[in-house]
Amino acid sequence: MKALSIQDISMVFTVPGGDPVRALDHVSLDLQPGELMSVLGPSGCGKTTLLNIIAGFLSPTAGQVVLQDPQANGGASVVTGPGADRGMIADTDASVVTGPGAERGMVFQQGALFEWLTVEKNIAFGPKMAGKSSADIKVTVEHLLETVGLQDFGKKPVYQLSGGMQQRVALARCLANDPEVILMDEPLGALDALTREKMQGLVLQLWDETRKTIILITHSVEEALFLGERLIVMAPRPGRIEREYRLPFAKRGLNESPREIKASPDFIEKREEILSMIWEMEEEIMGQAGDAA
Amino acid sequence: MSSQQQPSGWMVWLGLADNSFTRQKTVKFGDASAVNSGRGYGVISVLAFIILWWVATAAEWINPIYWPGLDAVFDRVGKLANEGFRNIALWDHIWISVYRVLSGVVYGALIGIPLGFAMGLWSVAKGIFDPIVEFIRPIPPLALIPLIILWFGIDEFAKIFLLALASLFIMIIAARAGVNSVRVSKVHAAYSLGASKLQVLLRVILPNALPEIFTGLRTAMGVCWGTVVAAELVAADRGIGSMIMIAKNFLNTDIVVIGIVIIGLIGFAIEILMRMLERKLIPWRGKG
Repeated sequence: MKALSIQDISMVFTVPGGDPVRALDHVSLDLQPGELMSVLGPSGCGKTTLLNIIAGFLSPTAGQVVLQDPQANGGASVVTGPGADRGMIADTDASVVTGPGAERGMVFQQGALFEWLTVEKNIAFGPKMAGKSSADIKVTVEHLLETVGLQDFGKKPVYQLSGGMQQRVALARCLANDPEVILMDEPLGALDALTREKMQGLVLQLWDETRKTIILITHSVEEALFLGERLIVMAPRPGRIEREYRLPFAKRGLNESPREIKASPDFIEKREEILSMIWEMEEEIMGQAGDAA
Repeated sequence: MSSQQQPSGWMVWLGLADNSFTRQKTVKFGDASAVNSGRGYGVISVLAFIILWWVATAAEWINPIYWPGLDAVFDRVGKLANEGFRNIALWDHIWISVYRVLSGVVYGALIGIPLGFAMGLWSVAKGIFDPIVEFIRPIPPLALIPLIILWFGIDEFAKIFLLALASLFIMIIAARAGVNSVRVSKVHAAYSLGASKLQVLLRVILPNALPEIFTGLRTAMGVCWGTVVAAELVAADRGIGSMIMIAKNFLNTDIVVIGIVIIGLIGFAIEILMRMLERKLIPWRGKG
């Protein structure tokens, strides 16, 4: 069974007066349920575009994203979220993504929390939109506050929290809806190095506890290696999948110390390999830009 | 360094001494946070003005018709407070002006905020109203007084209409700016959490726009306070502006000066009050 299937997606942005930009070129991917996949690549490789297409914020020029519905049994498919705008595929329990929906949770970089609400109310936002009872919401919120280690901060306004704590809230807010797939767009990008390492541990822990399908986009080679059970390296112009890795580090990270893993020879070897790959891509872009100029 | 004596809290508050942090800085010129409050000099300048006023009028350097004596002003304040002005209590003159401003701002906001939201969210509304707003915006509200007198006369409705108009355009622009200021990731987050369009509007776009809306209200209050006084100068039998105008006709310079001081004080009080309200109601301002 597949949780998510990205089927031959192309994305072309036409710029008035310029050449069309091929942000994504025939990208295909299948995700198994419970898979944690990190996506890495130099800027301009289309990784954020890809995530926005999966989230339903952008509609691709060609191809489609198909979402498996694990709740469905038999032929009829149940589609949660804003359903009217979502097309169906006959004979399967799947739906084609045509817009945002509650079954795909998002975690953004800092600044996407609702600063006018307290920590609790940010986390309660999704269940409240779904019309859950306030008793149910309370149970969910308390459980999640504990899960992300913020049990004493529920009543605080989010703007009083540090960057790392705010991202804990963002994770909890996303989990409150119990989404099938979690899409993370550079969630730790704005954090300082130490907080970032701690939060990587939390992401792994949450993945282990909830067994959600997670796609994580990052700039950091180290983060992509450490968190990605599966790692996709994308290349720019046109945006495409350059290489794919299966990695043991995320699983090992559940038991071993992250510092040890990141210092281990096989981790370092992979890191250098990927770094030189991305380095070459950047060189190539610079070369192209140089030719054009 | 520690051998230096710590300045007393009072001296720091008055701005006559550096606070302990500023004292450690070697670069002060150009660092705005190293500029002290200067309250001590403020006290001196106010006292100097009052003393100059007292000396100049007591020594009869100035004709009281141009500028009243300090003692005469105090006498007149007592009389106005007790007897009122032209059979209307001083408080009523003040209140009617404040009431006109509040009404104008409220009506302006009630129409302006939804209109600003519509313009920020919907291209049709933007297209229809943008040329009108951009055209009327640079016209000072006072320039509309003659037209409004022609249309509605000089009764209460005419004044509140003028003030509502003055605040309307400020509120439209503020609400539209508030809508435009929403970070798209917040809207995306809300949709991903299952919010409908209406829920995104009420629970994300509206609260996100509140700081801008409040700034608009504050500006509208200030502009309307200036406009109401001017409108009353032109045509009114009550209100703080009319009091000044009538007093001028009788050469009661002391009342004119009192009226001006009251206008200044109330304008200042409105600003302070709005800032306090803002801190209380929108503590998240600027912290997204």
